[in-house]
Order: sequence, then structure tokens, then C-alpha cells
Amino acid sequence: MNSSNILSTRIRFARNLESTPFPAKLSPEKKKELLLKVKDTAKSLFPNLDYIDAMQLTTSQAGTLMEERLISPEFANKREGAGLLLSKDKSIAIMLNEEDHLRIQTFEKGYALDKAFKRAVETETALDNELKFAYSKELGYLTHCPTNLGTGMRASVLVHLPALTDSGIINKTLSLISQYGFAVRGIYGEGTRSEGGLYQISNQISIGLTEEEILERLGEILEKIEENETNLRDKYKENIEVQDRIFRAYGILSNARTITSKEAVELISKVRYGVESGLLKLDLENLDNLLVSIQPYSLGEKEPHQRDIKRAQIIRNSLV
Amino acid sequence: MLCENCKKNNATTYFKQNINGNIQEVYLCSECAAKLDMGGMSSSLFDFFMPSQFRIRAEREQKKCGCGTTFYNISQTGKVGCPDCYETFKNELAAVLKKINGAKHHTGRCPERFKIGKIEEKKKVSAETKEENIEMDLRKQLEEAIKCENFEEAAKLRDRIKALKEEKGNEQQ
Ligand SMILES: [Zn+2]
Ligand SMILES: [Zn+2]
Repeated sequence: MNSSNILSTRIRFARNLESTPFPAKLSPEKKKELLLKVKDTAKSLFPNLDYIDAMQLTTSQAGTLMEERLISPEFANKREGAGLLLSKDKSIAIMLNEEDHLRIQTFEKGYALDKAFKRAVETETALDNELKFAYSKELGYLTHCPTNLGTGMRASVLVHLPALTDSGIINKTLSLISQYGFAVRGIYGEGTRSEGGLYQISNQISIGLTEEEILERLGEILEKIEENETNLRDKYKENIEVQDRIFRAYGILSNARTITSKEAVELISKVRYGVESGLLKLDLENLDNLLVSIQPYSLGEKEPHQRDIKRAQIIRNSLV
Repeated sequence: MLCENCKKNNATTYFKQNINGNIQEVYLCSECAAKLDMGGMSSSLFDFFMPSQFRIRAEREQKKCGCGTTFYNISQTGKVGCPDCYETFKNELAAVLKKINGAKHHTGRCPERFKIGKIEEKKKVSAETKEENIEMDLRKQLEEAIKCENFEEAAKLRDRIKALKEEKGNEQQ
């Protein structure tokens, strides 16, 4: 499977300590106690994890972590009594006292469900031996929200589907995905349903299937989508309009002096499409990193107009 | 278009999901979408799963979990207070859980300390089936022996089946 149109993979386990109220029901003192306990345990097991006190984070630091998708917007907004355990390479991020006591997350570049899952299991198992996560035979891992019961697992991938999006066939694809029990998130702009043809696909069902079965299904659905996307790309390979859009996008990105985040994402998507079709010779990973670094908080510039200028500059520099 | 969940922010994201055959399509603001994406569910989405008759019942319910949560609280927030709430409100939650996940049972991983129980259970089950198989075998042999009028063999087999049954009976006591 050609997985270059999968940008990243994430596995997340929601876990809670036995007989301990969920964070929403904990007093500030009890939250602190829990933070200390989990932090000490985790640090003794995994010395490479850094502990970050969420309350010490500035809004822009929290925003940057959010744009890097290491923490949820919920975590970024409600930082009181919360903490983050982050590995140096940012491939493991454990949110503490978010909605659940622990949200163990592993990240991989590209398509790497098995690898991310294996690492998440290793981390979770070691922590469980010390902390004892709440579990029932019938309901599985017990979570604050009943929709996460069972495996407490959410597997998600970020996919780039420019050809399907351009042709409008994406709507069919999206309903196929939901029929499989998976959820699709797309950011829609004018006309198209997703800015830049980027979609996040994740499992909606977490009970009644084993973790492996969930991953297998996700793999199957991705293969189907991949096939449709590739067929379309082949069909439009020689299409002059498609090529024109790609090269124009490259022209704007390499020359613009000011650019909004929305326009930048759309154009980077087209350029990415061009690279994958062999029309442009650029580093894909570099482009994918750009999608994060041009986001408002990551730019570290408060004034919107200055931000658009800085964004254009960063893009020009990275395309040279 | 306004976000269908908070009805405050502009909808920027659309979300599609299939829950036991019901396809839902909602337009959400980025904040609400992210919450849903992280597995959270706001109370108004919980409404979708919670028929009004449960809500009325929830208001009357006096029972409290050790963590201080009542079923009314759960019906308002869509979330439980502590892991033990699931046991405390087992009957009350059953209908809601059925709507959310079709009342499916967990089949995935379990903590190490639960694995021992699982293995023993399996052993017990396989031992039981083994005993049943032995008995079945003996009964077949017995039938054959009677058919062939091999009464000496049949008597022996009958004794063995009897002994096996007694053994089982003793174990159960
Ligand atoms: Zn909203
Ligand atoms: Zn409780």
C-alpha cells in the first residue's frame, strides 16, 4: 500500500485509576495528588518522559502543543490541575487530568498503525501494573464518557485526498467510511468540504471489537480509499488543468509576501499533490511539517497581519 | 452556519458518524469538533441517546454513588462521576449504553491481573468439556457393546460412567 498520502498516525488509550472520581469530580488537592502519583510512577518507568505542569504553560505554548496535535483543545483551554508527560521526540504524550485521568497517546509519521499501537500497549501495560486502571469484564476500561467504554482506544490517521476532493467523489467515500463505523473529520472551506483535502479518520466504535480488529478494519478502509484516490490521480495525470493548479499553487507559495492560514493550507495541499504525482521535486516531510508551523500559535506572532507576513516568509524559505 | 452543538460559534467542521446503522451528520465549530474527536461528548449530543422518559426517571432517582453522583447528574452531563458509577447505576445506564454501543460486551485487552482469572476460566471450561467428551465416548462404547451383546464389557463401561458421574457430583458439592 502506497501510504504517502497518510501524513500521521495516532493511537490513544483513555485510562482511569480504580475507585477514583474522574477529574471533573476531583477537588484541586486531589487532582494534585493524582498528578504527583502518576508523574512519579511514569517517570520511574520511563525516564525519557518530561513532565510539564499545564498551569505553567502560557496560552501560546499551549496553543503550539495543540497545533502539533499533542494535546487536545480541551486540555489547552482548561489547564488547571492538568499535566503532560511528553517524550523528547514527541512520539509519546500522556495527558493527565484531561477528561480521563490518563490519555496515553503515541504518534508516528506516515502510516504506522501497528507500530503506534505496539508502543501504546507497552506504555499502558507498564503503567497499569503500577497504577491499576479501572476495568470491568463486561464494559472493559471504564471511562468518564460512556462512548469510550471497552477498549478505550481511538486510532486515527490524517489522510490527504486531493483528487477525491477535487472531483467531488469524496462525499461517496465519506459515507462509505461512516458505514464501516469510522468517523471522518474534514475542515470545510467554500465549495469543498475540507480545506486542503485533509481528513482525519478514526474509529467510532470502541466496544465489541478487539483492538486488533479495530485496527484491521481501519487498515481495510484506508486501502479502499487509497485505491480510489490512486485511480483518480492516474486518470488526471495528463490533465492540463490539474497540472496548472499545482504549478500555480507552487508559484504563489514561493513568491507570496503575505498569506492567510486557510490559503496556505489549500495551496500546500496542491503542492503536496504535485510532489506525489512526480510533477514537483520537494521533500514531503518538509511540507507536512509546514502544515503545523504555519498555524497561528506556532508562528508565535500575535498581530494577525504580521502573522500573515511571517507565514509567507517561512513558506518561501522552506520551498527554496 | 452555526455550530449545531454549542450554537454559539461558526461551524467550520463537519462530522459524520455511524452508530449502529444511524448515520449522523453534524456541523460543528472547531472546538466542539475537537472535543468529539477526542472522544468527549457534550450533553446535547447525549440528548440524542437519552430519551425523555429516562430523563424524567432520572429526576426522581434518589440513589447516589460513593462519588456523590446521581443518575440525574449523569443525564445532564452525559458523563459518569467515577469508575464505580457504572456498577452503581448499572440498570439505569443499561438503556443508554444500548443506544450508544448496542449493549456490546468488551472483547479486547484486559489488565494483566485479570488475565490470570481468564486463563483459569478457560482451563475450567476445557476440563469440563474434556470430562463430557470422556462420558460421551464411554456411552458410545457402551451402546456398541450392547449391540454386540458383549455384556461383560457393557457392565464394565456402565461402572466407569457411574464412577465418572459420582466424581463430578462430589466436585460440585
Ligand atoms: Zn460549538
Ligand atoms: Zn461514582
